[in-house]
Amino acid sequence: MQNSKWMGFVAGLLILLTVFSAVSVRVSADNLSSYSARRNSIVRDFESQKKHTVDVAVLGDSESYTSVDTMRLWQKRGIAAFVLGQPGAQVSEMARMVERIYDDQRPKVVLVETNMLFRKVNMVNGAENQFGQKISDIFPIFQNHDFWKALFIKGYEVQKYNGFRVLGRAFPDADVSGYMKPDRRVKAIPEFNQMMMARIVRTCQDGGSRVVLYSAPSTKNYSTAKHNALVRYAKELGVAYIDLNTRIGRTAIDWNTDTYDGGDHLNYYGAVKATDALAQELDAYRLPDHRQDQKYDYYGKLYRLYAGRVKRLDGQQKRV
Amino acid sequence: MAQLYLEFSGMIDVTMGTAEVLQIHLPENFRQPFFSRSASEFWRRWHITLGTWLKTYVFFPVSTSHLVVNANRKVRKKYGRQTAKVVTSFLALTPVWLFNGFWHGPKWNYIVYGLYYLAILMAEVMLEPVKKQFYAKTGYSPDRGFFKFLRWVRTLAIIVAGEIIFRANTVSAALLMMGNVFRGPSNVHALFAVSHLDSSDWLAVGFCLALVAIVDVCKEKGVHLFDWLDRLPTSVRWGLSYSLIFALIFLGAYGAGYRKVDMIYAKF
Repeated sequence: MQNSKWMGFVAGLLILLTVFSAVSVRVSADNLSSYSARRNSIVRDFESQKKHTVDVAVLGDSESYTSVDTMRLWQKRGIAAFVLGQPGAQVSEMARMVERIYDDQRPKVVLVETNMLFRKVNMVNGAENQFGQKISDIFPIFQNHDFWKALFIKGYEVQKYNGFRVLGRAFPDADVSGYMKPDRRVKAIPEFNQMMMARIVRTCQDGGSRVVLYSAPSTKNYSTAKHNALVRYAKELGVAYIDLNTRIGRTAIDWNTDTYDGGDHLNYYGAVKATDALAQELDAYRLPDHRQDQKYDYYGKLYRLYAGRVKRLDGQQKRV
Repeated sequence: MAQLYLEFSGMIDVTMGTAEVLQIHLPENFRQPFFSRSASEFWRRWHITLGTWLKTYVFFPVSTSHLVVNANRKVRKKYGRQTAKVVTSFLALTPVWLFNGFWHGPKWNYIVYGLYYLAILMAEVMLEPVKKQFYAKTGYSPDRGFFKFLRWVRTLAIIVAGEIIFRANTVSAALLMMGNVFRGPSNVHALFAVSHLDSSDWLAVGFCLALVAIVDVCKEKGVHLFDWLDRLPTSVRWGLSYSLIFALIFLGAYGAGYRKVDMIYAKF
Protein backbone atom coordinates (compact mmCIF):
# COMPACT_ATOMS: atom_id res chain seq x y z
CA MET A 1 0.00 0.00 0.00
CA GLN A 2 2.83 2.38 1.03
CA ASN A 3 4.80 1.50 -2.13
CA SER A 4 1.86 2.20 -4.42
CA LYS A 5 1.33 5.57 -2.68
CA TRP A 6 4.96 6.52 -3.30
CA MET A 7 4.73 5.38 -6.92
CA GLY A 8 1.58 7.48 -7.33
CA PHE A 9 3.36 10.53 -5.89
CA VAL A 10 6.36 10.09 -8.20
CA ALA A 11 4.11 9.53 -11.22
CA GLY A 12 2.26 12.76 -10.40
CA LEU A 13 5.58 14.58 -10.07
CA LEU A 14 6.76 13.34 -13.49
CA ILE A 15 3.48 14.40 -15.09
CA LEU A 16 3.76 17.88 -13.56
CA LEU A 17 7.41 18.18 -14.66
CA THR A 18 6.35 17.32 -18.22
CA VAL A 19 3.47 19.80 -18.21
CA PHE A 20 5.54 22.64 -16.76
CA SER A 21 8.36 21.85 -19.19
CA ALA A 22 5.97 22.28 -22.12
CA VAL A 23 4.55 25.52 -20.67
CA SER A 24 8.00 26.95 -19.96
CA VAL A 25 9.24 26.25 -23.50
CA ARG A 26 6.15 27.93 -24.97
CA VAL A 27 6.32 31.00 -22.72
CA SER A 28 10.10 31.43 -23.14
CA ALA A 29 9.71 31.36 -26.94
CA ASP A 30 7.46 34.44 -26.85
CA ASN A 31 8.86 36.47 -24.02
CA LEU A 32 12.45 37.51 -23.20
CA SER A 33 11.71 38.54 -19.63
CA SER A 34 13.40 35.56 -18.07
CA TYR A 35 17.14 35.02 -17.99
CA SER A 36 16.79 31.55 -19.52
CA ALA A 37 14.67 32.90 -22.38
CA ARG A 38 17.36 35.44 -23.23
CA ARG A 39 19.99 32.69 -23.31
CA ASN A 40 17.77 30.50 -25.46
CA SER A 41 16.95 33.37 -27.84
CA ILE A 42 20.53 33.50 -29.11
CA VAL A 43 20.37 29.83 -30.02
CA ARG A 44 16.98 30.37 -31.67
CA ASP A 45 18.31 33.36 -33.63
CA PHE A 46 21.25 31.28 -34.82
CA GLU A 47 18.99 28.39 -35.82
CA SER A 48 16.82 30.81 -37.80
CA GLN A 49 19.79 31.81 -40.00
CA LYS A 50 19.55 30.57 -43.57
CA LYS A 51 21.28 27.24 -44.07
CA HIS A 52 25.01 27.27 -44.77
CA THR A 53 25.35 31.06 -44.57
CA VAL A 54 27.45 31.57 -41.43
CA ASP A 55 31.18 31.61 -42.14
CA VAL A 56 32.42 32.58 -38.68
CA ALA A 57 30.87 31.32 -35.44
CA VAL A 58 32.06 32.85 -32.18
CA LEU A 59 31.88 31.02 -28.85
CA GLY A 60 32.58 32.26 -25.36
CA ASP A 61 31.15 34.22 -22.49
CA SER A 62 30.28 37.92 -22.31
CA GLU A 63 33.79 38.78 -23.54
CA SER A 64 32.80 37.33 -26.92
CA TYR A 65 29.63 39.28 -27.62
CA THR A 66 31.18 42.56 -26.49
CA SER A 67 34.35 42.23 -28.59
CA VAL A 68 33.33 40.83 -31.99
CA ASP A 69 31.30 43.40 -33.92
CA THR A 70 29.59 41.16 -36.47
CA MET A 71 28.16 44.11 -38.40
CA ARG A 72 31.59 45.71 -38.78
CA LEU A 73 32.94 42.42 -40.14
CA TRP A 74 30.04 42.47 -42.60
CA GLN A 75 30.49 46.11 -43.57
CA LYS A 76 34.30 46.04 -44.00
CA ARG A 77 34.81 42.57 -45.45
CA GLY A 78 31.43 41.00 -46.17
CA ILE A 79 32.09 38.30 -43.57
CA ALA A 80 28.99 36.52 -42.25
CA ALA A 81 29.61 36.04 -38.55
CA PHE A 82 27.44 35.06 -35.58
CA VAL A 83 28.29 35.29 -31.90
CA LEU A 84 26.82 32.47 -29.80
CA GLY A 85 28.43 33.69 -26.58
CA GLN A 86 26.41 33.63 -23.36
CA PRO A 87 26.94 35.54 -20.12
CA GLY A 88 28.97 33.50 -17.64
CA ALA A 89 29.23 30.62 -20.12
CA GLN A 90 31.00 27.45 -19.06
CA VAL A 91 33.16 25.56 -21.57
CA SER A 92 30.84 22.55 -21.15
CA GLU A 93 27.88 24.70 -22.19
CA MET A 94 29.73 25.81 -25.33
CA ALA A 95 30.72 22.19 -26.06
CA ARG A 96 27.00 21.33 -26.19
CA MET A 97 26.25 24.50 -28.17
CA VAL A 98 28.86 23.68 -30.82
CA GLU A 99 27.21 20.34 -31.57
CA ARG A 100 24.06 22.26 -32.63
CA ILE A 101 26.02 24.58 -34.95
CA TYR A 102 26.61 21.80 -37.46
CA ASP A 103 22.91 20.90 -37.83
CA ASP A 104 22.45 23.59 -40.48
CA GLN A 105 25.74 25.49 -40.77
CA ARG A 106 29.29 24.80 -41.87
CA PRO A 107 31.34 27.73 -40.51
CA LYS A 108 34.82 27.97 -41.98
CA VAL A 109 36.22 29.43 -38.77
CA VAL A 110 35.12 28.99 -35.15
CA LEU A 111 36.51 31.72 -32.91
CA VAL A 112 36.64 30.76 -29.23
CA GLU A 113 37.07 33.52 -26.69
CA THR A 114 39.30 32.13 -23.97
CA ASN A 115 38.06 33.79 -20.76
CA MET A 116 35.74 30.85 -19.97
CA LEU A 117 38.70 28.44 -20.05
CA PHE A 118 39.88 29.81 -16.73
CA ARG A 119 36.48 29.55 -15.06
CA LYS A 120 36.92 27.51 -11.86
CA VAL A 121 35.41 24.08 -12.17
CA ASN A 122 36.67 20.76 -10.89
CA MET A 123 35.80 17.31 -12.20
CA VAL A 124 32.98 16.90 -9.67
CA ASN A 125 31.35 20.25 -10.54
CA GLY A 126 31.86 19.46 -14.19
CA ALA A 127 30.15 16.09 -13.85
CA GLU A 128 27.32 17.79 -11.92
CA ASN A 129 26.92 20.32 -14.75
CA GLN A 130 26.87 17.57 -17.35
CA PHE A 131 24.28 15.61 -15.36
CA GLY A 132 22.19 18.75 -14.88
CA GLN A 133 22.29 19.45 -18.61
CA LYS A 134 21.14 15.89 -19.40
CA ILE A 135 18.20 16.29 -16.97
CA SER A 136 17.38 19.65 -18.58
CA ASP A 137 17.24 17.94 -21.98
CA ILE A 138 14.57 15.56 -20.65
CA PHE A 139 12.71 18.18 -18.58
CA PRO A 140 13.35 21.68 -20.03
CA ILE A 141 11.63 23.21 -16.96
CA PHE A 142 15.03 22.96 -15.22
CA GLN A 143 16.58 25.13 -17.93
CA ASN A 144 13.65 27.52 -18.26
CA HIS A 145 12.83 27.57 -14.55
CA ASP A 146 12.48 31.36 -14.41
CA PHE A 147 9.86 31.47 -17.22
CA TRP A 148 7.28 32.73 -14.65
CA LYS A 149 8.97 36.17 -14.82
CA ALA A 150 7.04 36.71 -18.05
CA LEU A 151 3.99 37.23 -15.83
CA PHE A 152 5.62 40.27 -14.22
CA ILE A 153 7.95 41.77 -16.82
CA LYS A 154 6.49 42.71 -20.19
CA GLY A 155 8.16 43.91 -23.35
CA TYR A 156 11.74 43.15 -22.37
CA GLU A 157 14.00 43.49 -25.41
CA VAL A 158 17.67 43.07 -25.95
CA GLN A 159 18.91 44.20 -29.32
CA LYS A 160 21.71 42.03 -30.61
CA TYR A 161 23.20 42.07 -34.06
CA ASN A 162 23.96 38.47 -34.92
CA GLY A 163 24.88 38.10 -31.26
CA PHE A 164 26.90 41.33 -30.91
CA ARG A 165 25.73 43.84 -28.30
CA VAL A 166 26.24 47.56 -28.85
CA LEU A 167 27.24 49.07 -25.51
CA GLY A 168 27.64 52.84 -25.54
CA ARG A 169 28.63 53.66 -21.99
CA ALA A 170 32.26 54.37 -21.06
CA PHE A 171 33.32 53.56 -17.51
CA PRO A 172 37.10 54.05 -17.32
CA ASP A 173 39.56 51.71 -15.69
CA ALA A 174 41.39 54.04 -13.35
CA ASP A 175 44.53 51.95 -12.91
CA VAL A 176 46.01 49.86 -15.73
CA SER A 177 49.58 49.94 -14.45
CA GLY A 178 49.51 46.20 -13.67
CA TYR A 179 47.91 45.16 -16.95
CA MET A 180 49.96 42.63 -18.96
CA LYS A 181 53.11 43.26 -16.93
CA PRO A 182 56.02 40.88 -17.66
CA ASP A 183 55.50 37.60 -15.81
CA ARG A 184 57.06 34.16 -16.20
CA ARG A 185 54.22 32.35 -14.46
CA VAL A 186 51.74 30.16 -16.30
CA LYS A 187 48.14 30.23 -15.09
CA ALA A 188 46.56 26.79 -14.80
CA ILE A 189 43.62 25.89 -17.00
CA PRO A 190 41.22 23.54 -15.14
CA GLU A 191 41.43 19.98 -16.42
CA PHE A 192 37.68 19.70 -16.94
CA ASN A 193 37.69 22.80 -19.16
CA GLN A 194 40.56 21.35 -21.16
CA MET A 195 38.53 18.18 -21.63
CA MET A 196 35.54 20.17 -22.89
CA MET A 197 37.71 22.34 -25.12
CA ALA A 198 39.20 19.24 -26.73
CA ARG A 199 35.63 18.13 -27.47
CA ILE A 200 34.89 21.51 -29.10
CA VAL A 201 38.00 21.26 -31.28
CA ARG A 202 37.11 17.70 -32.31
CA THR A 203 33.53 18.64 -33.22
CA CYS A 204 34.66 21.68 -35.21
CA GLN A 205 37.36 19.81 -37.07
CA ASP A 206 34.93 16.98 -37.88
CA GLY A 207 32.61 19.68 -39.28
CA GLY A 208 35.38 21.07 -41.46
CA SER A 209 36.02 24.25 -39.42
CA ARG A 210 39.29 25.85 -38.34
CA VAL A 211 39.36 26.65 -34.62
CA VAL A 212 41.01 29.89 -33.52
CA LEU A 213 41.40 30.83 -29.86
CA TYR A 214 41.34 34.53 -29.13
CA SER A 215 41.48 36.70 -26.02
CA ALA A 216 39.45 39.90 -25.98
CA PRO A 217 41.16 42.95 -24.47
CA SER A 218 40.25 43.10 -20.77
CA THR A 219 42.32 44.52 -17.92
CA LYS A 220 40.20 42.63 -15.38
CA ASN A 221 40.33 39.19 -16.98
CA TYR A 222 43.70 38.88 -18.66
CA SER A 223 47.32 38.83 -17.57
CA THR A 224 50.67 37.72 -18.89
CA ALA A 225 50.37 34.51 -16.86
CA LYS A 226 47.16 33.69 -18.73
CA HIS A 227 48.78 34.66 -22.03
CA ASN A 228 51.64 32.24 -21.32
CA ALA A 229 49.15 29.48 -20.51
CA LEU A 230 47.13 30.07 -23.67
CA VAL A 231 50.14 30.17 -26.01
CA ARG A 232 51.23 26.80 -24.64
CA TYR A 233 47.70 25.38 -24.66
CA ALA A 234 46.95 26.44 -28.24
CA LYS A 235 50.15 24.70 -29.35
CA GLU A 236 49.05 21.51 -27.55
CA LEU A 237 45.66 21.68 -29.23
CA GLY A 238 47.17 22.46 -32.59
CA VAL A 239 45.11 25.61 -33.10
CA ALA A 240 45.93 29.26 -33.71
CA TYR A 241 45.80 31.80 -30.89
CA ILE A 242 45.33 35.56 -31.12
CA ASP A 243 45.86 37.56 -27.94
CA LEU A 244 44.37 41.01 -28.48
CA ASN A 245 45.68 42.04 -25.06
CA THR A 246 49.25 41.92 -26.33
CA ARG A 247 48.29 43.00 -29.83
CA ILE A 248 46.26 46.15 -29.08
CA GLY A 249 45.49 46.08 -25.35
CA ARG A 250 48.26 48.49 -24.34
CA THR A 251 48.43 50.43 -27.59
CA ALA A 252 45.23 50.94 -29.54
CA ILE A 253 42.70 50.46 -26.69
CA ASP A 254 42.10 53.56 -24.58
CA TRP A 255 40.98 52.31 -21.19
CA ASN A 256 39.34 55.67 -20.45
CA THR A 257 36.92 55.57 -23.38
CA ASP A 258 36.79 52.03 -24.73
CA THR A 259 35.53 50.03 -21.78
CA TYR A 260 31.94 49.61 -20.58
CA ASP A 261 32.71 48.66 -17.00
CA GLY A 262 36.14 49.63 -15.75
CA GLY A 263 38.18 47.24 -17.89
CA ASP A 264 36.07 44.10 -17.66
CA HIS A 265 34.33 44.40 -21.05
CA LEU A 266 34.83 46.57 -24.10
CA ASN A 267 32.13 48.99 -25.14
CA TYR A 268 31.22 49.65 -28.78
CA TYR A 269 34.29 51.82 -29.39
CA GLY A 270 36.62 49.17 -27.99
CA ALA A 271 34.80 46.44 -29.92
CA VAL A 272 35.43 48.29 -33.20
CA LYS A 273 39.18 48.27 -32.55
CA ALA A 274 39.17 44.64 -31.42
CA THR A 275 37.13 43.58 -34.46
CA ASP A 276 39.44 45.42 -36.88
CA ALA A 277 42.44 43.65 -35.35
CA LEU A 278 40.67 40.27 -35.55
CA ALA A 279 39.58 40.94 -39.15
CA GLN A 280 43.22 41.40 -40.18
CA GLU A 281 43.97 37.97 -38.72
CA LEU A 282 40.92 36.43 -40.40
CA ASP A 283 42.27 37.54 -43.81
CA ALA A 284 44.58 34.52 -43.61
CA TYR A 285 41.51 32.25 -43.84
CA ARG A 286 40.34 33.83 -47.14
CA LEU A 287 36.74 34.12 -46.05
CA PRO A 288 34.31 34.94 -48.88
CA ASP A 289 32.89 38.43 -49.31
CA HIS A 290 29.09 38.08 -49.42
CA ARG A 291 28.16 41.74 -49.81
CA GLN A 292 26.92 41.23 -53.39
CA ASP A 293 25.21 37.92 -52.62
CA GLN A 294 21.38 38.17 -52.64
CA LYS A 295 21.18 35.30 -50.19
CA TYR A 296 22.56 37.71 -47.58
CA ASP A 297 20.06 40.54 -48.13
CA TYR A 298 18.90 40.28 -44.54
CA TYR A 299 22.44 41.13 -43.39
CA GLY A 300 22.01 44.44 -45.17
CA LYS A 301 18.73 45.05 -43.31
CA LEU A 302 20.30 44.14 -40.01
CA TYR A 303 23.24 46.41 -40.78
CA ARG A 304 20.91 49.38 -41.34
CA LEU A 305 19.33 48.79 -37.91
CA TYR A 306 22.80 48.58 -36.39
CA ALA A 307 23.93 51.79 -38.16
CA GLY A 308 20.92 53.62 -36.73
CA ARG A 309 21.79 52.40 -33.24
CA VAL A 310 25.43 53.44 -33.60
CA LYS A 311 24.41 56.85 -34.94
CA ARG A 312 22.35 57.44 -31.79
CA LEU A 313 25.44 56.55 -29.77
CA ASP A 314 27.74 59.09 -31.36
CA GLY A 315 27.50 62.31 -29.50
CA GLN A 316 25.53 60.59 -26.75
CA GLN A 317 28.40 58.56 -25.40
CA LYS A 318 27.75 58.51 -21.71
CA ARG A 319 30.85 58.68 -19.59
CA VAL A 320 30.23 57.52 -16.05
CA MET B 1 21.23 38.92 8.06
CA ALA B 2 18.50 37.08 6.18
CA GLN B 3 21.11 35.47 3.92
CA LEU B 4 23.14 34.30 6.92
CA TYR B 5 20.12 32.88 8.74
CA LEU B 6 18.61 31.19 5.70
CA GLU B 7 21.92 29.68 4.59
CA PHE B 8 23.05 28.47 7.98
CA SER B 9 19.75 27.26 9.43
CA GLY B 10 18.69 25.98 6.01
CA MET B 11 21.87 23.92 5.76
CA ILE B 12 21.19 22.53 9.24
CA ASP B 13 17.58 21.73 8.28
CA VAL B 14 18.80 19.78 5.22
CA THR B 15 21.20 17.87 7.50
CA MET B 16 18.46 17.18 10.05
CA GLY B 17 15.98 16.12 7.35
CA THR B 18 18.50 13.74 5.82
CA ALA B 19 19.23 12.29 9.25
CA GLU B 20 15.48 11.86 9.94
CA VAL B 21 15.18 9.79 6.78
CA LEU B 22 17.80 7.51 8.33
CA GLN B 23 15.88 7.54 11.65
CA ILE B 24 18.59 9.65 13.32
CA HIS B 25 17.30 12.56 15.40
CA LEU B 26 19.67 15.51 15.53
CA PRO B 27 19.27 18.41 17.98
CA GLU B 28 17.91 21.71 16.72
CA ASN B 29 20.57 24.38 16.13
CA PHE B 30 18.30 27.38 15.56
CA ARG B 31 15.14 28.05 17.56
CA GLN B 32 13.44 30.99 15.84
CA PRO B 33 16.22 33.42 16.92
CA PHE B 34 14.48 36.53 15.57
CA PHE B 35 11.74 36.18 18.18
CA SER B 36 14.32 36.94 20.89
CA ARG B 37 13.66 39.82 23.25
CA SER B 38 17.18 40.13 24.61
CA ALA B 39 20.71 39.47 23.40
CA SER B 40 21.17 36.62 25.91
CA GLU B 41 17.95 35.00 24.65
CA PHE B 42 19.22 35.42 21.07
CA TRP B 43 22.34 33.44 21.90
CA ARG B 44 20.22 30.70 23.45
CA ARG B 45 18.34 30.43 20.16
CA TRP B 46 21.13 31.03 17.54
CA HIS B 47 23.79 28.43 16.79
CA ILE B 48 22.71 26.47 19.86
CA THR B 49 25.45 23.85 19.54
CA LEU B 50 28.21 26.49 19.65
CA GLY B 51 26.56 28.18 22.62
CA THR B 52 26.22 24.86 24.43
CA TRP B 53 29.85 23.99 23.76
CA LEU B 54 31.04 27.38 25.03
CA LYS B 55 28.83 27.04 28.11
CA THR B 56 30.08 23.52 28.88
CA TYR B 57 33.77 23.92 28.12
CA VAL B 58 34.47 27.60 28.84
CA PHE B 59 31.76 29.28 30.93
CA PHE B 60 31.18 26.55 33.56
CA PRO B 61 34.88 25.70 34.15
CA VAL B 62 35.72 29.42 34.48
CA SER B 63 32.71 30.34 36.65
CA THR B 64 33.31 27.40 39.04
CA SER B 65 37.10 27.94 39.25
CA HIS B 66 38.71 28.94 42.54
CA LEU B 67 39.60 32.38 41.17
CA VAL B 68 36.04 33.31 40.30
CA VAL B 69 34.44 31.66 43.34
CA ASN B 70 36.85 33.49 45.67
CA ALA B 71 36.37 36.77 43.83
CA ASN B 72 32.60 36.34 44.11
CA ARG B 73 32.83 35.73 47.87
CA LYS B 74 35.10 38.71 48.52
CA VAL B 75 33.17 41.18 46.33
CA ARG B 76 29.80 40.05 47.76
CA LYS B 77 31.07 40.57 51.29
CA LYS B 78 32.36 44.05 50.52
CA TYR B 79 30.01 45.44 47.85
CA GLY B 80 26.88 43.33 47.90
CA ARG B 81 25.19 40.70 45.78
CA GLN B 82 24.53 42.73 42.63
CA THR B 83 28.14 43.94 42.29
CA ALA B 84 29.38 40.41 42.86
CA LYS B 85 27.06 39.20 40.11
CA VAL B 86 28.45 41.84 37.71
CA VAL B 87 32.08 41.00 38.54
CA THR B 88 31.68 37.22 38.26
CA SER B 89 29.64 37.59 35.05
CA PHE B 90 32.44 39.69 33.59
CA LEU B 91 35.11 37.20 34.64
CA ALA B 92 33.16 34.24 33.22
CA LEU B 93 31.79 35.87 30.05
CA THR B 94 35.00 37.53 28.85
CA PRO B 95 36.76 34.28 27.85
CA VAL B 96 33.48 32.98 26.37
CA TRP B 97 33.11 35.96 24.02
CA LEU B 98 36.77 36.20 23.17
CA PHE B 99 36.65 32.51 22.29
CA ASN B 100 33.49 33.10 20.23
CA GLY B 101 35.33 35.81 18.29
CA PHE B 102 38.46 33.70 17.72
CA TRP B 103 36.34 30.70 16.69
CA HIS B 104 35.17 32.70 13.67
CA GLY B 105 38.72 33.55 12.66
CA PRO B 106 41.86 35.52 13.52
CA LYS B 107 40.54 38.86 12.30
CA TRP B 108 40.00 41.97 14.33
CA ASN B 109 36.38 42.37 13.34
CA TYR B 110 35.54 38.94 14.85
CA ILE B 111 37.28 39.87 18.12
CA VAL B 112 35.38 43.16 18.18
CA TYR B 113 32.19 41.19 17.44
CA GLY B 114 32.81 39.02 20.51
CA LEU B 115 33.60 42.06 22.68
CA TYR B 116 30.50 43.83 21.33
CA TYR B 117 28.27 41.05 22.66
CA LEU B 118 30.25 40.94 25.91
CA ALA B 119 29.43 44.63 26.37
CA ILE B 120 25.74 44.08 25.53
CA LEU B 121 25.38 41.13 27.91
CA MET B 122 27.22 42.98 30.69
CA ALA B 123 24.81 45.91 30.19
CA GLU B 124 21.92 43.45 30.59
CA VAL B 125 23.37 42.13 33.85
CA MET B 126 24.05 45.63 35.22
CA LEU B 127 20.62 47.00 34.27
CA GLU B 128 18.66 44.03 35.60
CA PRO B 129 17.84 45.54 39.02
CA VAL B 130 16.82 48.85 37.36
CA LYS B 131 14.45 47.01 34.99
CA LYS B 132 12.96 44.93 37.83
CA GLN B 133 12.30 48.09 39.80
CA PHE B 134 10.74 49.83 36.79
CA TYR B 135 8.33 46.98 36.04
CA ALA B 136 7.48 46.54 39.72
CA LYS B 137 6.69 50.25 40.20
CA THR B 138 4.78 50.78 36.95
CA GLY B 139 2.93 47.47 36.89
CA TYR B 140 3.83 46.96 33.22
CA SER B 141 4.85 43.52 32.04
CA PRO B 142 8.01 43.05 29.94
CA ASP B 143 6.35 40.09 28.19
CA ARG B 144 3.14 41.77 27.05
CA GLY B 145 2.00 44.68 24.91
CA PHE B 146 4.17 47.68 24.13
CA PHE B 147 7.21 46.66 26.19
CA LYS B 148 7.28 43.20 24.64
CA PHE B 149 7.34 44.88 21.20
CA LEU B 150 9.96 47.43 22.30
CA ARG B 151 12.25 44.72 23.64
CA TRP B 152 11.90 42.81 20.38
CA VAL B 153 12.75 45.85 18.23
CA ARG B 154 15.68 46.74 20.50
CA THR B 155 17.04 43.19 20.23
CA LEU B 156 16.73 43.22 16.42
CA ALA B 157 18.70 46.48 16.30
CA ILE B 158 21.42 44.94 18.51
CA ILE B 159 21.59 41.84 16.28
CA VAL B 160 21.77 43.84 13.04
CA ALA B 161 24.50 46.11 14.41
CA GLY B 162 26.45 43.03 15.49
CA GLU B 163 26.09 41.50 12.04
CA ILE B 164 27.52 44.63 10.43
CA ILE B 165 30.66 44.17 12.54
CA PHE B 166 30.69 40.44 11.72
CA ARG B 167 30.35 40.85 7.95
CA ALA B 168 32.69 43.80 7.43
CA ASN B 169 36.22 43.02 6.27
CA THR B 170 37.76 45.41 8.78
CA VAL B 171 36.67 47.38 11.82
CA SER B 172 36.88 50.67 9.90
CA ALA B 173 34.68 49.20 7.14
CA ALA B 174 32.15 48.22 9.82
CA LEU B 175 32.08 51.78 11.19
CA LEU B 176 31.63 53.15 7.68
CA MET B 177 28.77 50.73 7.00
CA MET B 178 27.07 51.69 10.28
CA GLY B 179 27.36 55.35 9.37
CA ASN B 180 25.90 54.70 5.93
CA VAL B 181 22.79 53.16 7.51
CA PHE B 182 21.78 56.64 8.64
CA ARG B 183 22.65 58.35 5.37
CA GLY B 184 19.24 58.13 3.83
CA PRO B 185 17.26 56.36 1.09
CA SER B 186 19.98 56.76 -1.58
CA ASN B 187 21.81 53.85 0.07
CA VAL B 188 18.77 51.61 -0.25
CA HIS B 189 18.71 52.55 -3.93
CA ALA B 190 22.40 51.66 -4.24
CA LEU B 191 21.76 48.29 -2.60
CA PHE B 192 19.10 47.46 -5.19
CA ALA B 193 21.36 48.63 -8.04
CA VAL B 194 24.41 46.63 -6.91
CA SER B 195 22.44 43.43 -6.28
CA HIS B 196 21.56 43.01 -10.03
CA LEU B 197 18.20 41.58 -9.01
CA ASP B 198 15.11 42.66 -10.90
CA SER B 199 11.65 43.17 -9.40
CA SER B 200 10.63 39.56 -9.97
CA ASP B 201 13.78 38.35 -8.19
CA TRP B 202 12.86 40.51 -5.18
CA LEU B 203 9.37 39.03 -5.36
CA ALA B 204 10.90 35.55 -5.11
CA VAL B 205 13.04 36.67 -2.15
CA GLY B 206 9.97 38.14 -0.44
CA PHE B 207 7.97 34.96 -1.01
CA CYS B 208 10.71 32.78 0.48
CA LEU B 209 11.14 35.08 3.49
CA ALA B 210 7.38 35.00 4.06
CA LEU B 211 7.37 31.20 3.93
CA VAL B 212 10.22 31.01 6.45
CA ALA B 213 8.46 33.56 8.69
CA ILE B 214 5.23 31.51 8.64
CA VAL B 215 7.07 28.32 9.60
CA ASP B 216 8.97 30.13 12.37
CA VAL B 217 5.75 31.65 13.77
CA CYS B 218 4.13 28.19 13.81
CA LYS B 219 7.10 26.69 15.62
CA GLU B 220 7.18 29.59 18.11
CA LYS B 221 3.49 29.08 18.86
CA GLY B 222 4.17 25.39 19.51
CA VAL B 223 2.45 24.10 16.38
CA HIS B 224 4.05 20.79 15.39
CA LEU B 225 4.03 21.11 11.63
CA PHE B 226 4.75 17.47 10.82
CA ASP B 227 1.87 16.33 13.06
CA TRP B 228 -0.40 18.89 11.42
CA LEU B 229 0.64 17.72 7.95
CA ASP B 230 0.00 14.10 8.91
CA ARG B 231 -3.61 14.94 9.81
CA LEU B 232 -4.35 16.50 6.41
CA PRO B 233 -6.10 14.52 3.64
CA THR B 234 -3.69 12.84 1.19
CA SER B 235 -4.65 15.10 -1.72
CA VAL B 236 -3.93 18.27 0.29
CA ARG B 237 -0.67 16.84 1.60
CA TRP B 238 0.45 15.93 -1.89
CA GLY B 239 -0.63 19.34 -3.21
CA LEU B 240 1.49 21.07 -0.57
CA SER B 241 4.47 18.81 -1.32
CA TYR B 242 4.22 19.43 -5.07
CA SER B 243 3.92 23.19 -4.41
CA LEU B 244 7.09 23.19 -2.32
CA ILE B 245 9.02 21.10 -4.85
CA PHE B 246 8.00 23.38 -7.70
CA ALA B 247 8.67 26.50 -5.64
CA LEU B 248 12.25 25.22 -5.33
CA ILE B 249 12.46 24.51 -9.06
CA PHE B 250 10.97 27.85 -10.15
CA LEU B 251 12.63 30.15 -7.64
CA GLY B 252 16.07 28.55 -7.42
CA ALA B 253 19.11 30.31 -8.85
CA TYR B 254 20.84 27.49 -10.71
CA GLY B 255 21.78 26.37 -14.19
CA ALA B 256 23.62 27.96 -17.08
CA GLY B 257 24.88 31.45 -16.35
CA TYR B 258 24.25 31.33 -12.61
CA ARG B 259 27.43 31.60 -10.58
CA LYS B 260 27.77 29.47 -7.47
CA VAL B 261 28.29 31.66 -4.42
CA ASP B 262 30.00 30.19 -1.37
CA MET B 263 27.88 30.00 1.77
CA ILE B 264 28.91 32.59 4.35
CA TYR B 265 29.32 29.99 7.10
CA ALA B 266 31.15 27.47 4.93
CA LYS B 267 34.45 29.12 5.83
CA PHE B 268 33.96 28.69 9.59
